[in-house]
Amino acid sequence: MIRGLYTSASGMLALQNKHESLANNLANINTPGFKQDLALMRSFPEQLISRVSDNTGPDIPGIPNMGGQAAMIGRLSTGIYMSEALPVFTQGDIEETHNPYDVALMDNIQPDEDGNEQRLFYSVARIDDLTQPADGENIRFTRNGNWSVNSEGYLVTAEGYYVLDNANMAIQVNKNPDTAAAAVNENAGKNLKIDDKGKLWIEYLENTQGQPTETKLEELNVTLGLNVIADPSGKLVREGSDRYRLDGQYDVDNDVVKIETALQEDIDALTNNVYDVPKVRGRYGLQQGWQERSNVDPAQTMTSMMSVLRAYEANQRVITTIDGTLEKAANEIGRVNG
Amino acid sequence: MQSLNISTSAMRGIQQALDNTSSNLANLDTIGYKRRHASFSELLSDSMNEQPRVDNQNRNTPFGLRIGSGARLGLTKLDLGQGNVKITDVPTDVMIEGDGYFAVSRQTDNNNEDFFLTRDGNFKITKHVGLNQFALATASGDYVLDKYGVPITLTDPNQPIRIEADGRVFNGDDDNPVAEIGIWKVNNPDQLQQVGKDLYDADIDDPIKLTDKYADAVVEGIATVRQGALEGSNVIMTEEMSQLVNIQRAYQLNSRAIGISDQMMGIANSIRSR
Repeated sequence: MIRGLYTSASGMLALQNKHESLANNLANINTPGFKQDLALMRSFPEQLISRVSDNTGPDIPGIPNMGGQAAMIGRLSTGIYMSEALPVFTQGDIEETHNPYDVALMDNIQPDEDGNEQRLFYSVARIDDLTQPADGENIRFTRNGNWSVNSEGYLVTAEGYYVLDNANMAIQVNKNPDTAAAAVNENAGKNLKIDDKGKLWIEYLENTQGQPTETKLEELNVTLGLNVIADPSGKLVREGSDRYRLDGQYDVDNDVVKIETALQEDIDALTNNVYDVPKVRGRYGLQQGWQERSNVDPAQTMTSMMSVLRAYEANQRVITTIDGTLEKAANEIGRVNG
Repeated sequence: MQSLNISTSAMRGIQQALDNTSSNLANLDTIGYKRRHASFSELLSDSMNEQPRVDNQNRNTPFGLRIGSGARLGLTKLDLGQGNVKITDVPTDVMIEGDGYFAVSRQTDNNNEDFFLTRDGNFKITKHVGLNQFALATASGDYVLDKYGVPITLTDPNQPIRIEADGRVFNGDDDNPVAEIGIWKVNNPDQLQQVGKDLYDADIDDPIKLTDKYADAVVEGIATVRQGALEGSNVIMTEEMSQLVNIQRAYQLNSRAIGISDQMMGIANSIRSR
């Protein structure tokens, strides 16, 4: 009976955790690229219960009836806890922001051979030496494509992490940001164009004397690093501030594939004209000037929150009931002259 | 109860986003105003590792339990898009079509000058204190600089002023321009520091450095000048209003979450209240 007290208390604690996770989902309802957490509950390991003195008991399917020993009654679960907060990596809807440094990521990659979900991520990192690519263990993954440009002209996230290209290098979009001598194609701003495959271009006006002004597009030879991660919820650890990192047992070299490599087979098939239909098309795309919104569903979250509240209340009622029974046991049993 | 802090942090962020939206809406009609776009960011995650040791089987996620701790306003980005044109037909109103900024100088107390950049071309003619000549100045009295960094002075303020698309300023019948308005190209406009009154800090202490730091936008062919017009703000009313709805609902949802947290605390409190 007293065991029930702890069972209900564990239920209240788990529900409190679940409520926190729901509140966090609601809090991030406007965070670009946020992926909502699903609270998973798991019961404590079950116990086998046996009678204390009576060794003739009923036959329970699946449990051997051993003669001469205390008879088994069955299994008893002793409570519940919240074991996992599972990020759900479904696509969020996209919203226009008009900002050249906002890039929404859309993906629709097929599952891998093992049937694992595959998702696309941008890679970001803190880098000390900007001439070198980022170390594997420093690379973080994000879906938040809401960036700006720092005073050195590098593309950075809101926290100042460098956005990486497909060679894991920081991307300098504004070269010579502080001098008038910068060439027309060296500074980006509104002129930065990011195409649907993540390639960076600079659009600039060429103004030669005596010629009409021409709009030119120059390739920067930089492609945003787009990383395919299979089974992202199993491999990525939510670090907060819109970032995920690979869990310790995984590393960037083996578990992260660049999109170009991941779709190589399809691209080859395409160039060899094996298929007429471009299979690569529609697998992923970037949209500059837009942002991916959070995939939190407010109605669903609110409903879960209300059911959590009621379940919490029910657990509290169980505790009060047990308390009432205990009170009887303590104060009324064995009382002489009631 | 952590959930209270989670929802409170989000509400604080949302309130700041509301401040940003109201600032945009308040400046709907401000000449040369550039809107800001608020964008949120997650807070760090709590990692709870006090999970049972046996709980490393049949999991979908790496070991441990991570619950975020809310949201904050990540950044408010300046949207430098062109505002709409307002035709005023006032000869001293100048608008920049394309990228670029006017440079203005402000006399400070101890004969020093501060330099700012602005898109606000709502100029007037005023007497330059130092030069004792009539000069072109902004509404707040800062002198407009030409392409060499000197204030634009007029020979005769009673004569008409004509400003060409390339920035040359003519005064009266004189065929020689009195000055050329400087339109400056900023290489990294995201780092511009807003100092209020439509001004951005030019980050220089000497007008000579203006030509070192910023290129001439007219020569680069990215800007032209239009007389008799002003650039309105680039705030889009419908977008701000829909943002407002968004913000208000997010605020409501988070305040509901706080209400539910409160009820849960009440329930926990009444375990022993019979």
